[in-house]
Amino acid sequence: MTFSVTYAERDDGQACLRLAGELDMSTAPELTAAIDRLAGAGERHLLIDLTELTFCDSTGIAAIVRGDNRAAAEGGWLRVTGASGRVARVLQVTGLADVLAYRADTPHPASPSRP
Amino acid sequence: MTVADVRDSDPGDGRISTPSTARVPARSADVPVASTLPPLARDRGLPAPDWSEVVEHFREGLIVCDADGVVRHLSPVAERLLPEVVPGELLASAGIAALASAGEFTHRGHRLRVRQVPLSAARCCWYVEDVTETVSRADALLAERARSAFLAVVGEKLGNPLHPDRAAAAVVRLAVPTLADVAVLVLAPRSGRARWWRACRSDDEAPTVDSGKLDAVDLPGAIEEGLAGIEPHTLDWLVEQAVDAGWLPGVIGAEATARVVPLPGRDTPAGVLLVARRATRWYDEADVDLVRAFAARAGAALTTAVLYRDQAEVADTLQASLVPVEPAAAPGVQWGTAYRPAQAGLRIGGDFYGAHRLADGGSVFFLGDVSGKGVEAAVFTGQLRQCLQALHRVESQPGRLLRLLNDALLETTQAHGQGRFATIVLGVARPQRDGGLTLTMAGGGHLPPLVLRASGDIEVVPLSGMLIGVVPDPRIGEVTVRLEPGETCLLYSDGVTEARGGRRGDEQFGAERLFTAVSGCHRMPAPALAERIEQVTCDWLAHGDHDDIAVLALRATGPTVRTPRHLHAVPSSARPERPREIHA
Repeated sequence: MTFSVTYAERDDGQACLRLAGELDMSTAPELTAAIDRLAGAGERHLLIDLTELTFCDSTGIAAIVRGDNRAAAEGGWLRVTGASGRVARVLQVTGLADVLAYRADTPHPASPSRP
Repeated sequence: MTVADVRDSDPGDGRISTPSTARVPARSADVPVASTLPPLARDRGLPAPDWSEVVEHFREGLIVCDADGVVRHLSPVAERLLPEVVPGELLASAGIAALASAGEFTHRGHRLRVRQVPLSAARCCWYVEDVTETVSRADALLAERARSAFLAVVGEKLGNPLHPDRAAAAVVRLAVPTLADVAVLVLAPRSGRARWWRACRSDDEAPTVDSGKLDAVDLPGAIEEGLAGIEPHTLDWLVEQAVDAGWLPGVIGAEATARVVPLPGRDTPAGVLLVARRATRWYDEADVDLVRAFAARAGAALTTAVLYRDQAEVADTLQASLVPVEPAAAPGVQWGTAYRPAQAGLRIGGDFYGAHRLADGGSVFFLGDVSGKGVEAAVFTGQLRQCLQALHRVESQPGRLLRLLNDALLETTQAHGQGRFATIVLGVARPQRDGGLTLTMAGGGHLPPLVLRASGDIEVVPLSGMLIGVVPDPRIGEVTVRLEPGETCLLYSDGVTEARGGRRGDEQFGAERLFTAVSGCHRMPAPALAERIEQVTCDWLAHGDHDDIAVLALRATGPTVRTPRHLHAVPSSARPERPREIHA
């Protein structure tokens, strides 16, 4: 399955990147570029929706961690939401699920909370 | 006999027959000019000019003989070119055999072109032209072209970086036969010894090449001068020096001519080229220029080759320092490892493992994976391993050791501004009196280890934690596992479970297949188990493209095995433990 990054602004005004397909060495640069574009545009809080992401390897993790580092350096944050299956497992194994899990201040119907 | 005799005759082919030497392209000097001019007009009844005066200014000289072959007329140009020809005598008696046939010949140092045209009354006229200049120009052009072509070939052959030895051999081989019958290349001495290569012209196509070494102090004076960047002038001496050095075979030694040219290097010459050939082909200025041009290319090739070799040596050394070090032998533990970097040619990658002995008899061991691939990742693993090597001396409690490592990595990764991190399992193994092992492991966001129980069960160690090098105070899980004698703990990288292959070629190997692969292997010695996992993973891979693969297995050897030597032993050596395993 091919990888895609789409930008969407959620109802609560939160900038969100929806990932679909497989995030690995060949596709991670796309995500990095998208994150950099948003950060360059002054977006300090970034949500990444992983609902349709089917695979994520260490390169993908690196892209997400890098994005979070960049956001944190400017006083913002990067969070992930919607991970399931193998992607959720990778986030759990690496411990990132604890750190990067998105908890909206106000409950939101578009942010499914899966294990 | 007057010039009027030839007035009505058609000189040769009926076209203007005296090509202008200035305008004719030199290489076609011997080709008749196919001019587009109309044929000469016949006599239009104009009054005849004074032909003798006109003829004097022809570039071609004229010799007109009567039917008996007696020279009846000789133009001044012909007289100058062929002083042997005397009017009133037989042309044949001049003794110039080449006149009998048309064409070119060399006479008194001039290149003459002659054509013979029959006239009326069985008379005959010879047109003689001095083409020395034209021919020499053509020769010079051809020679220049040959030199350019030669240098082009040389540039091509020496263009690729070669091993210095092969570059040196290529240089002398290329010099023969164009530049020399014997070519000797002497490289600038290293540690008092100078290596040389020699090519000799042989009857076969390919010259014979050999090589040798000389003490720097024994180098001929001319070579030493050359190595100092000076082109020696004492040419006679040169041959004798080359003969003394044993470089010129007897055949041409006595009657050779030689030149020595330095090969330009980075600061000082990379070497010196000695070219020698039979004295019948003296090195003229053009030849020496060619040798110099050749030497410039050869010097560049050699310099590149040496630079390339030096860099390769540096790379090899660095690479060797980044290859995982086998775990240190420790009492009560049998280690097994497997390592297959993604870029096999590189031999290094982003996975790492290792073990160090602790003063109390235990061992600290680890296996992990850093973000990124290839050299950059390998360098990061090197930093990590060095950190651990130092830190385990001050802290041997796995959780705290991992925190120290996290702080150290955070510092370096923040300094580099990179999202670099590592996942790692780090543990301490302590042998117990009964031959078992107590493993205390800390999790840094890595795949949890497996334990192969003596019963054949496979357990996933419930180890969690966060990857290191990302946040200042990561959550680090810690678990203590007890291994009975013969039981094995298995650490592996995600290159195993994420290997893509199978029937469709892109299916992941996955944890389930790994469990299947190791089930029933609980009696296997640790090295065999590690090797089996690598083998099964590589069998699964559809093509050569894969992530780094690393496996570290540690097995409790039991109390019967005490000698540290035993720990690296081959599979059969583990046999004495078997009854104990069944017992356990």
